[in-house]
This record gives sequence, structure tokens and C-alpha cells, in this order.
Amino acid sequence: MKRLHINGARGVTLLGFSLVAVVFGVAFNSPLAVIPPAPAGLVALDALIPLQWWGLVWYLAAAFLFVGAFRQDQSKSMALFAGLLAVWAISYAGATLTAPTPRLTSLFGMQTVIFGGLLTSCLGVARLLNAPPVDISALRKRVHATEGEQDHGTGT
Amino acid sequence: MGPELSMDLLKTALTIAGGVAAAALTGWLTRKSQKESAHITALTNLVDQLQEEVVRAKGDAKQVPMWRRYAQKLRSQIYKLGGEPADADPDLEL
Repeated sequence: MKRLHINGARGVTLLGFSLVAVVFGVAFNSPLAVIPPAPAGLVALDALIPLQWWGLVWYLAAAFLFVGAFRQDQSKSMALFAGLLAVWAISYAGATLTAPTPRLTSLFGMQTVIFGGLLTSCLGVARLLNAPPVDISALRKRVHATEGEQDHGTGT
Repeated sequence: MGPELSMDLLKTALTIAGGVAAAALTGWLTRKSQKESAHITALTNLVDQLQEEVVRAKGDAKQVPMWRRYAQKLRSQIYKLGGEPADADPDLEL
């Protein structure tokens, strides 16, 4: 049976992101959920299907991220997570500008920063290069050993 | 359709368009990074193979003086037996 390996540094980050996505899922769709008023960009969607049910998409993203952590191609799970983060960040940013009370402005502003910050880190992680699957220290030792032999052979 | 509903729909459309753009950008950046990772892996493996080749070639090179000494011994043996050893190829550096 093929052993499962977390695919590089990005894979480890994807596992962390999947936990974050589960927390968002719990925040929007669980017995513990405290549903905030629908932000500006999601009012039409909220009227169609309540925000609580859109929260289920976070669980889906969490599952995608968890599976993506072990896969060679991690672009699809990253894309879904980034897309969701952007939707919520843009939506809350719009709501911050039009919030009727200072308390809501502060609440929506904080949400914008949280989702925007996570989106920024998501873009950073997307440019992360996974290390090659070789024993670099053993390779380096061998290169040094060969160089040492060459120096010895030429008398330098 | 009231103006308020049209505004809500417009805002939702803009929000979702932003989400799709972010998803596309992230997917593209991830694929680009994965391609670069694959190149680095291929280059590292190539260096690894080259090192192995160098070690093997050095081992082979160590055999050459021993072969030369053996050939000289064989030639002197042939002379002692009164024979004439075959000429080496003109290109061969002894």
C-alpha cells in the first residue's frame, strides 16, 4: 500500500488552512454559530439561501484543503479556499463602508482584515516552492567528498 | 425589479467576480510554483546522477595505470619468448 505523505511546506500550510476553514464552517453552520447580519455583497445570496447554509461551503473547502495537502497538484484546493476568502473579504469590505452603526463598522472592518489577511497569506503560500524530494545533506556531503578527491588528485 | 434589489444583485455579482478572480490568480500562482518545483527537482536529480557518474569514472580511471603495467609485462614476456608483440594503434597514448 502506498504511504501517504504531506506534499511539502505548502501541504503543511494547507492542513493549517483546512483547520481554519473548519472554524469558519463552525462559525456559520453549527449549533455554536452566531450568524452576523449578511454583508453587502452577500445580501442577494442570503435572500436566496440563508447565510447559514453558505457556511457549508467552508466545510467543503476544508475537505478539499485536507486532501490537497497530500496531493501533487494543490492548485484546485488553494483556488477554492482563496475564492471563498475573497468573496467574504470583498463582501465585508463593502459592508464596512455602508454599515449603519459604528459597532457594525468595527465588526465588519475586523472581518475584512481577517479574511483579507488570510487571502494575502494564501497568495503567498501559492508562490511557495516545495523542496525537491531528495536527501540534500547527503548530496552535499557527496559533492564535497568529490571536490576533496579532485583537490587531492591535482595536488592543490 | 426594484432599484434596491438590482443594487444587491450588482454587489453580489461584483463580489463573486472578485472571488473568481482571486481563485484564478491563486490557482495560476500555485501551478507556476509547482512547475518551478518540478524543474528544481529534475535539476537536483541530474546533479545527483552526475555525481554518481563522476565517482564511477574516477574508479575506472584508477584502473588505467594497472592495465598499462600489465600490458608492459605482457610485452616483455613476449620479447623474452623471442616473439614480436603487436604494434599499438597509432592513436593510443601509452
